[in-house]
Amino acid sequence: VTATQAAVRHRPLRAPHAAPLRSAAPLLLLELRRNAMPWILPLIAALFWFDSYRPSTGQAPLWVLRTFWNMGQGHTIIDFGPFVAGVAAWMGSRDARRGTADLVTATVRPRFAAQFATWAATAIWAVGAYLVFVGVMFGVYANQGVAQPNVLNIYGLASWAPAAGPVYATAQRFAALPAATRHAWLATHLAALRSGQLTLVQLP
Amino acid sequence: MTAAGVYSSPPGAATALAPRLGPAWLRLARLYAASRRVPAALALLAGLGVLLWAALHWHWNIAGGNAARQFIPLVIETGAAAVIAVTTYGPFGESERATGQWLPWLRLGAAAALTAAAVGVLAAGASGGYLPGGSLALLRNVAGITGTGLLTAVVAGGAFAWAGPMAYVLVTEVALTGNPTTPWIWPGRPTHDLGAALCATGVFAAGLVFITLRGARVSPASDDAGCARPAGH
Repeated sequence: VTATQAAVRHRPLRAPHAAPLRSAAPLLLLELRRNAMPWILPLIAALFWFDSYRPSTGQAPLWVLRTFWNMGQGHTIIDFGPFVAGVAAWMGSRDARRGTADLVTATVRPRFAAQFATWAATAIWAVGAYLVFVGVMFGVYANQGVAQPNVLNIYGLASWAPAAGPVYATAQRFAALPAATRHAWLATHLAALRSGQLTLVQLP
Repeated sequence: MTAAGVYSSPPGAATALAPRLGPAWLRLARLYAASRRVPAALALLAGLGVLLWAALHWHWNIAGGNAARQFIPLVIETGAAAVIAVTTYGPFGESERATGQWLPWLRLGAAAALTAAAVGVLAAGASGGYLPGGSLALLRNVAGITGTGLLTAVVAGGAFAWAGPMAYVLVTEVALTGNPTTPWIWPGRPTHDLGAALCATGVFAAGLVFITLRGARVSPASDDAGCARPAGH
């Protein structure tokens, strides 16, 4: 028997995409565990409370006003953005900082895959924390009885607006108008009120 | 032949190197500065001075109230403070602390010298045009914000010391949209406001004292020496 008579045996083919995914998951988990983003989250939480949540509670309890304050004016993004950028730069420069760039370039795993895992872990932490913080804030709003702006609760402004505030004064003035004038004004401007282009202190 | 009875080096043996490299304290300061990336920090501070000059000379501005008017100078001052704060990060960790007898003085000297340099280059940059508050407000703001950075370095480590000035400027910008009366928001107060000056000076002094006595925190998050644990960050 010689080797020329032996039948060639083929190895069963593996699914082409399964292996990279299987090997990427532990790397991503490792990067998530070793990411620097969680260290900065307490500071962002404090800023988020001070800059986004606390001032927004001074607005009238209407979703459109509170959302406009936080999202429309970009307070929530500003609270996150600089810190996420700083941490991302820190994570991205890790190999150069430690002098291991040449070492890891020679490994089997493509550098793009490894760096993508670092980026993905940072992004997951940042986006996840952002969603949690915003979710908690809107949950607190919901508990505070924040409502949609409609004809009824605009008519009832005087009942919930803080006394001596600008909204209260506006409510008093608005309530003194004839009913037909109020109806006409609201019919014209309700869309602008809902979109945040018009605030309640701009009532006639 | 034994070494018994030899109590000193032969004449000229140990001092041959010293005259060439300068006094020992100068060499130590130079090595410390190199380990803290002080030359790069000075280059960045000079760049920020040029940026401030350009912003004032070409009247870069953002339309709006007090917060918008102060935004560009305040961000540049914050950048300078962040650069100074990050230089507190050292690559040697605890091993340096265990052996470095002069380390507190080096920390104090580096922080004070860099702050003075920052004020100097930014004051030079302010000659490009009108800076709200003038050089006195610049001195107050840079010193105070640098103090927040140094305190952050003590608490969170030198690598993340930039987060303190960054957080302070965000808080200040929010406060400036109103009419802040608290002296802790010193950039929003008039130049000759005593309370604001005291607060800024106090924060800077506290930062200097803590960074001198304790140094930047060597934490797993910021330790690149790899001695504490093989963290991936």
